[in-house]
Amino acid sequence: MTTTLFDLTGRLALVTGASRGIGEEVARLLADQGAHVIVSSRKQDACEKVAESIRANGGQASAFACHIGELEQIEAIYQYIQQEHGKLDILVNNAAANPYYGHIVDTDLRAFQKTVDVNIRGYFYMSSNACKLMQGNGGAIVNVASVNGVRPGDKQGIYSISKSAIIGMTKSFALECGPDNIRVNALLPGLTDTKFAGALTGNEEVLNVWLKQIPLRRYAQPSEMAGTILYLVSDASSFATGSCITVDGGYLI
Amino acid sequence: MKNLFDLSGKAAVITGGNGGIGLAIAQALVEAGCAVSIWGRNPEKTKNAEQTLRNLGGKVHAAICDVTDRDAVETAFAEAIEKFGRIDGCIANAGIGGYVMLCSSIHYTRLLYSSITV
Repeated sequence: MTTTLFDLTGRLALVTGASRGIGEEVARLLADQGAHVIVSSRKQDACEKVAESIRANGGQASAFACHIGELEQIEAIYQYIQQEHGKLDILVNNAAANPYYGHIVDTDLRAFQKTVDVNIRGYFYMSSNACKLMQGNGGAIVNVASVNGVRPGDKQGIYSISKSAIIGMTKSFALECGPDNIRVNALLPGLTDTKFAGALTGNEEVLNVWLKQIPLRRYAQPSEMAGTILYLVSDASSFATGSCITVDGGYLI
Repeated sequence: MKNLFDLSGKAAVITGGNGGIGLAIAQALVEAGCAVSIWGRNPEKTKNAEQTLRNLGGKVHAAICDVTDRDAVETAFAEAIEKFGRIDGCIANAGIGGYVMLCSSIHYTRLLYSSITV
């Protein structure tokens, strides 16, 4: 017996940061569930590789590079989606930047600006463009935030601030787009084994400090984030909007 | 296709599983392949819910159980384990509500017990 609550047949999904890590796992899982996935990240060849692998497994996928820190690239990907598909059902805002690791008072303007441009402005304009395409049919957006948006990470000040903003953004979009049947939720991953978190997982001393604070005493694999995102973009969560789900091994308890 | 939500071979207890949200949870779990043990106080409502779940093809155990009664809870758990050989999850859903200002002391005690027993 199988439930159809998670079936995404006929839906079009855009996943950013999908060439590796959590984004890649999400792209593969959504395609497994029947969605046509647009695999996006900064580099076209990296997107193509994942899209091709999805197609080789019998799924539907296409590739379109987009650096979400560049507004004209955001406009270009939505123009492509409008022309090719004329609709969008699912957006997973996952691509993020974390260019600075150090004391907050020493944050230089370039790192500050890059973090804000990608994590705040990028998520915002990806969401607003998606909502315009979703109006009429409804849709689901998942913003990948972080536990650092609730409890700041040491020496990750501007990153943590941007993730707090994403949590607020999730609620604002959920509030104003709910009447259009667009659901907007956030996933707050804890420490996950990705290249992105390499500065933490690759440093034994830093890692041990983290692990002591995680009741499950381990960090997550990227695949362990995908199920929650599938839940949030599928009909299984049809009455959930504005919610923030932590998947952190108990870190925020 | 990878199925992260497949519950085949698993068994779950759902308190208050004979109506409302509890029954909807039981139905969703049955649809995902899970055996369910539904508990409720009202015999007729529980019997009807049991039939509804059986009609979906589910493996079902039903118990008349007031979760404020520790002996009844232990008996219901024992029956469920005997029937399924395992329990993988428990949805503690049974609860009672009402205006606390109007509660008699007995009602209030029941309210507290239903919150803390399971």
